[in-house]
Amino acid sequence: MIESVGLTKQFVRTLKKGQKEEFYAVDHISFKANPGEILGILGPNGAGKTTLLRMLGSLMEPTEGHVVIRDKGDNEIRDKADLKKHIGYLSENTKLYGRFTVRETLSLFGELYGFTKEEMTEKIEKTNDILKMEEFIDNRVEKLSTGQKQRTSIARCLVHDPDIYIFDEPTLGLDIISSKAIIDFMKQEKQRGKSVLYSTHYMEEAEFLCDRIVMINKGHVIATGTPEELRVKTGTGNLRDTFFALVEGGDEDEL
Amino acid sequence: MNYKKLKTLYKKEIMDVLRDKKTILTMVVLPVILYPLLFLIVMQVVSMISQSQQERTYHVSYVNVSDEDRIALNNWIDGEDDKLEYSIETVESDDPDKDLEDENIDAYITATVSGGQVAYEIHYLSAVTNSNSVEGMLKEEIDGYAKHVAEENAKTSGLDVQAVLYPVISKSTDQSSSESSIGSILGGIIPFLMITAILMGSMYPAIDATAGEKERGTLETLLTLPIGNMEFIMSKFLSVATISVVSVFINTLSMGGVAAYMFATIKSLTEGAGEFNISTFIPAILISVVCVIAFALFMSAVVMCVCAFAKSFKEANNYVTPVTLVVMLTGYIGFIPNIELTSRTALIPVANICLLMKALLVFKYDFQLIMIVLFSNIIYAFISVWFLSRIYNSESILFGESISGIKLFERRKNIKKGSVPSIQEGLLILVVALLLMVYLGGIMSLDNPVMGVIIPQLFIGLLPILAAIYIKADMKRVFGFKVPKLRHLLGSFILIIGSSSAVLIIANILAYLMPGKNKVVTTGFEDILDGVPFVGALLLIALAPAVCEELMFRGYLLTAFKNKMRLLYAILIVSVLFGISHMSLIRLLPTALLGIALAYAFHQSESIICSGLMHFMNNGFSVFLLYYGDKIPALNTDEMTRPVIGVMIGLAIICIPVGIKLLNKEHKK
Repeated sequence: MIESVGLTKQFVRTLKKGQKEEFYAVDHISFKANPGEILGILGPNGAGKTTLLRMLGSLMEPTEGHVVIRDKGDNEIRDKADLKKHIGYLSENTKLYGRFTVRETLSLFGELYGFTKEEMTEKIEKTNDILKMEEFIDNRVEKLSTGQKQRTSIARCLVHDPDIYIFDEPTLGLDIISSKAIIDFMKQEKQRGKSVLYSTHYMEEAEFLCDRIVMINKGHVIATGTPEELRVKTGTGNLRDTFFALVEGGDEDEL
Repeated sequence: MNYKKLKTLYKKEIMDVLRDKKTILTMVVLPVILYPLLFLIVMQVVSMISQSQQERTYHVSYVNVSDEDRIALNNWIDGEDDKLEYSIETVESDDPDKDLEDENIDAYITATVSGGQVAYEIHYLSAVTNSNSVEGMLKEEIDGYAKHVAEENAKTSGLDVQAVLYPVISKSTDQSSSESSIGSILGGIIPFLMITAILMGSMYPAIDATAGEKERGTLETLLTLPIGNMEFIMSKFLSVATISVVSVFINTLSMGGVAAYMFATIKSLTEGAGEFNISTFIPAILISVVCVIAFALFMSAVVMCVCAFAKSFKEANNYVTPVTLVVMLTGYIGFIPNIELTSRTALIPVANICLLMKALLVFKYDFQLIMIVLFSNIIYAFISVWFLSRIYNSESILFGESISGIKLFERRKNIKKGSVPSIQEGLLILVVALLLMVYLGGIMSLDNPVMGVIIPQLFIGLLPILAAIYIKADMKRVFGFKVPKLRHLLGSFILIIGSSSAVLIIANILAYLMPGKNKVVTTGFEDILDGVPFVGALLLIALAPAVCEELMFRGYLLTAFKNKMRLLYAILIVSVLFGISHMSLIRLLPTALLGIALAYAFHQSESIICSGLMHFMNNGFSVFLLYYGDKIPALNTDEMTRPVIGVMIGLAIICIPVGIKLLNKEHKK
């Protein structure tokens, strides 16, 4: 289980004429993703999705608020260094080392997650079985096709069998086959009782995949609920319209 | 720090870099192939030229030389046991000047007979290689002949040849071993090549590990792992340093091999001369190695710090260029004759390692200085690594957009109008100006101390202006080219009276605390100004800095820093730089304090005329004291008398607040 407790991130941006302005990329956002659940974080570009997920994945320090992570036994992980061991993080920015082979990549990451060599050999075999990487496992990553790279990326983030997955726009720019691989993977991990956090701006994709949705805009949560609940609440037919209804409503609130 | 993770990461970094073809190329292939090739080509060319010089037959004419003398001299030249391979042939010439000009003959000899003496004159062209060579040969031959004739004459007169002709002779013996003379020849070039090798060796891996990682998008992947910041940075740093050290060794081996081959060749050509023993170099080499490793650590961290700001290879290359420039320029220090390793130069980064190697090559082992060099490099390395860790702690650098860099290396047409100089640019220009000041100023002041002051000042003033023009900066804004308000001018006038007084008091307290030097204000002026009239001194010491240093520090640098950080920090940093630039420890604090007052006035009035006036008044006062100080009874003591101190404290207390108030922007209505 992963919980965002009032996460806030403040940035400074430089305006024209060298003046500086502070602004909130993420402004006091709280929610919770339960085991066996895919939670969608939806919002347009610049809504603060990436910053939020980076804070949840301990890649970034929040300005305010904190992250709560519980393992399978519902024990809270307090040791900061241990947090990342429970998270598998995948985004369009998490590329692989081109000069390493798939096997080297996996054993490197495994070692850094703290597994022994023997454990790693076993885990690589298992991952290989799941993702069917036999034909290219000893090739350098830079020589792989996009689809093969995608599978290697998935392998990279499940190699330590985390309880929580964080996917930041994982299907952005991928063809249907590659994105299907990711979507299938998310569904499968959900079946295995993992918490899956998933951000996208493809509303249709989210609609059929997510159990619950947190909609954010300009760093604020504008709505939470199941896709069904959101549609009913706004009286719209699909998530896209729901989003526009909410954003326009939100803007009016701000005015 | 978790050492197991560090080890894994280190292994990963090394593997990653080694699998990059570019690294292998610059690290191994280049030194192993390039050096021997270069040296061999040079050797070939040199030996070809010298051979053609020696084997040639030179044509010489005799003009107005009696037959008897000519035959005797000719016989001497031909007959003497010639070990040399050249031969000299006599040719007739009707118009020797024209023949010489047309290079039909290489030289001609004339003789004047007066009494019992024949004076031969060799006419040649020093600009023509062959003519120049034959002149030396002929001179040697004639001198030999003259000696021979004198000895013969003495003998026939029945005199003791040695006692009459050579009652006193002199001889010099070079006591330095041939190793140390070789060392002194290599003292300039070897440190320079070494530093270049370290720099080049660390550059590619550093860019690859920092900007390269960002460009390839693997940085964020790495950050998802449970590794601490320290392991992350140290693994990168250690791997870059390792590769840089390894590349130094490969370079040294390649260079050493070539050098050994070269010496062996020379030795076989000129037997006896240049006997030396490689083993005598071993202690020097070992000490160098330790210091060079410390230096490589330092250099790697510096290059990584710079590259960390870049988002791509190309950008990183742009950032590294100025570093390369500065390091290589400093590396030339070994070529300058009179700069040696002292307790002061041992502290200057880059220069210290050059001078150490230079000293070691002539077998000067000063253990204390070696330790200073070693430890200063270790300390610099630590500071740079600390900086690196600070940089990598900053999320805006890890995730954010790249910061605006050095526009000086971009094409001018791509630069937007009204750009503001960046901090890196400011520092680059300052360092280049200071280096020029040290090198050119040093050379100039040998001939003419006045030029040694004025030329560096010109660089300090001119460089920022050129740089600002290149980046199409708003000159009015950057340099404050505007007429100030009368109130601001008055404020500056009053402020400088107060702050000069305050600074003088502080300078004298410092002088009192540091025994041995109690004339602080005028340090360094006296020697230069010897024989310069008062007005000249005023122009030199007061006006030139008031214009040039203001352009650099208050104009260019302050504007650059002000644009990126809080005003207070900008003023403090620029003032400290101003102090450091005067290159005197005892004047550092007073100069920096003065810099704060100047910067404040510049910022408030937005006019360089204000700070220029202040600078002129401050320096002018010092010059005035130097020339007329002894005519004012109250000042005419080494110790400041109490009333003078009282007046100065009074001036400081009254004038500083009044000046600040007048300069204050908020006050205008």
